[in-house]
Amino acid sequence: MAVWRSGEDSLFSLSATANTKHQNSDGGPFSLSAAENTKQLTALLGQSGDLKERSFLFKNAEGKLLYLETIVDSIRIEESILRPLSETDMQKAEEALTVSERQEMADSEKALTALLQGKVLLFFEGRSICIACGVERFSTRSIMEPMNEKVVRGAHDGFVESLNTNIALIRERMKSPGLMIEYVQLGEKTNTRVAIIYEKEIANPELVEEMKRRVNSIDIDMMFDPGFLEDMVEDTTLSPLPQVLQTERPDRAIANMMDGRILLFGDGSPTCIIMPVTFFALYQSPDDYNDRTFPGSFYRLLRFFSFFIAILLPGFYIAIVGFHYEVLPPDLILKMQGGVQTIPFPPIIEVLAMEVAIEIIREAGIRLPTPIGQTIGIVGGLVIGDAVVSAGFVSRTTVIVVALTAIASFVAPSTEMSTATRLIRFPLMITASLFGFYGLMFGLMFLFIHLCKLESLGRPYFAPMAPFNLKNVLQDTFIKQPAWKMNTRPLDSRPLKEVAESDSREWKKK
Amino acid sequence: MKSPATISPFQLFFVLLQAQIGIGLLTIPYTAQVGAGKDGWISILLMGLFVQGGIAVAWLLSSRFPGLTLYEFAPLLVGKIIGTVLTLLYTLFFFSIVAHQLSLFLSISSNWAYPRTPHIIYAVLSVAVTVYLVKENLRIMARFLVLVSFLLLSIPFAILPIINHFEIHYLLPVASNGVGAIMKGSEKLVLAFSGFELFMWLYPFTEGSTKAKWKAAAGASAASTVLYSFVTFASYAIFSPKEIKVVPEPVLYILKEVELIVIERIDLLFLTIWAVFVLTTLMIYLYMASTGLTHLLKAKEHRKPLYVLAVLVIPLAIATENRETLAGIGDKLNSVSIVLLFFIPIVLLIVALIRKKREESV
Repeated sequence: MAVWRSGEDSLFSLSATANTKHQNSDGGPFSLSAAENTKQLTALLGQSGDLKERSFLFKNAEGKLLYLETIVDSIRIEESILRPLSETDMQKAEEALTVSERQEMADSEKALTALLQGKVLLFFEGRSICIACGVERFSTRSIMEPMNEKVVRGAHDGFVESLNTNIALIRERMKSPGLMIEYVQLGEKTNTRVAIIYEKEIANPELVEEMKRRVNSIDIDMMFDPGFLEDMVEDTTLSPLPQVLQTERPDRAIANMMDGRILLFGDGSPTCIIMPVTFFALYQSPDDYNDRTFPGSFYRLLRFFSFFIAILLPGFYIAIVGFHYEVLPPDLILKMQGGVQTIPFPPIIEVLAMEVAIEIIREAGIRLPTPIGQTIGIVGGLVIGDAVVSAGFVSRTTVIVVALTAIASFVAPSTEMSTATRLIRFPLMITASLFGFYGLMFGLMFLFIHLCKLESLGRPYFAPMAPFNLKNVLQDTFIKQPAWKMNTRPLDSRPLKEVAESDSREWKKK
Repeated sequence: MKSPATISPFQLFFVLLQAQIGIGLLTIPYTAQVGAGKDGWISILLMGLFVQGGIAVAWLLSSRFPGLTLYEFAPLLVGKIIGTVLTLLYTLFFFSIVAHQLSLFLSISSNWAYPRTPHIIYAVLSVAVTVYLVKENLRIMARFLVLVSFLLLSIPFAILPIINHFEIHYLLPVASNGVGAIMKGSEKLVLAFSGFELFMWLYPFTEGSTKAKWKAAAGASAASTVLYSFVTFASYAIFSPKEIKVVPEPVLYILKEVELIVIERIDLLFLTIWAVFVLTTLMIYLYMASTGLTHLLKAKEHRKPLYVLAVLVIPLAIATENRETLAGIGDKLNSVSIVLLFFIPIVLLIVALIRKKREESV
């Protein structure tokens, strides 16, 4: 696969990719006849319905125009190719064309790839080359705030499905000459452009190399969902925890890039994949940085607290009811006893059934139109929740525990993390039902050992807690210090340049 | 068997601390009073001093061979055969500590909170979680051990609510049982303090200056000495000298009486936290035993020896559930540890000094 840098005539240097493909078709150099050349390409494309051919005259010689009408901009063909060619006084066609992007090609395979990318091919009688002109039409939706990453304050734009627009969103915010954009063509059939983006002066070159190595080893038919890309480059796929950060927010992507992390974009998807990340980066929300220090820190702490509620509370409840009810104060036991005693099931069945019910309600409501989704929520949450208690199947306390857990699991500012917490609690519930507090302890030890072992792009995932780094812990992990105190970048991505800020509040000393 | 993974002095501190703090956290008040009565907490401080001496010896020895573990430099000092015998001895010692601590852990757990769960289940679970970490390299182990050290903060928080129940007169007059009794008390505590000797194995894998390494090791032992004597002091201040003789885990009994607003039985939570410290001790010693076996077998990696030892340790640990038998084994291990933790390193150091051996000279 070919990797090439931005700034060069990137889209045209596809030779390496193209050579490995279309091996069965009889490609090869062009002949001197324009008609024959177009016929050759038409044959390669198998007479596709949207392939259009048009003849024109240039200096009394016949020329041919070949393009896929579905992905080119016909107005631009007329304005910057056909009209200049018919009105010009120039002797050479290249000088007459007013398109900004053009390249000569002497090989039908290269030309075919360009054609599929939305280029217009120009053939002239008597010349054994074609000129590929970039007049692609991009279909994009408008830029909107991502649905699942809303913020209260701060930027409200989000990535879209077009790679060029996404890169534009990044470039608009970051006018640094160090911003590197490298393209890779992936997907045997889909030929999807994937961009690796990083800040050259901050990102560690070893990590960049590793990322390129991983991306370049991908060999797959289709590549258009971020999930495919994530599965291919993630360190440990058989882990409940995501080791990449997926975001649709340009501000979040850039903030992470400025910490020395690397962004991965696939054309056709609004999701940006960020590596290496830490567990804690998945709990940072752009809102924290728009908040003042105290609320910012409070809400972040609240999120970690919710993480523990989401994974531990049902297990803890099961362990207490099943093994250690004496942990509770006598008054509380009396209150709970009435409800729990009459329930015909052991606590694990009770909680498990309710947890699964909530997951079903969530899954049912998620893809429905909003009005129906709300109805499902009311029917599922209120009616079932209340009816199941009145019927005496489930105790009131269980409903409280399950509801609290469900809410807490949605607190994580990353969808993958929120899914992960919802999954982790099931094994913990089972160990708690078998072994009480010890079961929870063993389960948590497995979880934390796993966290210590996990790596993201070869960097420790649970940094800065393991390995422990007090400075990073206090700066932007559990709490969020004011911006002028975030002097250095986090060390987990081993940035080349550590200093991020210095003496911004020098005015105060005077 | 040098793995390229190194740790920082900061991590060394916590690895050694976690190696030392284990079963002892619950049992040391009882062990210390056997010899020294109510002055047991002074015995612990005294033992802490001896351990500092042991660390100094280990440090002098290791800094002569900065790139080698004891397994590697012992043959250079005393010849290949005795060196191999020493490796075997230490490996066996580490392995038996794992088995002994595990069986004590099982018996205390079942006595206190889980009488109906068969020992083998917790034995298998403990060994499984241990192997899950130990099969990784030292650096990842150190990361985890530093992480769980945050749980140590819970010990002062657990003891704090009972301070106003202290009956200081139980402890007065201080040291009235005499120096002999205090020394006798210390003698029993060697096993509880074992863990500092691992310095001689971890030294070559630690980055930083020799002084920084010594500081980490000495600091770890000092910290566990303070923690142990604090816990013991608190136990003796709650239970009278007569009561303490019949209470094998005084800390849990104390905590059983403490009530926080929402939690009635702190002892059950504390038992769970203590279990983590026991498991970390098991992890470190099982790692040491498996690297020892790796060295003996001249294997490339410690994983396969680890799996063998892990399977072997389970039947050993559940072989006896009798507390007296276990205490007897503990006494024997204690006597052995005096030799292995103090005597042999001193002899090795003397040999090294006499034969003027250093790593560069061989």
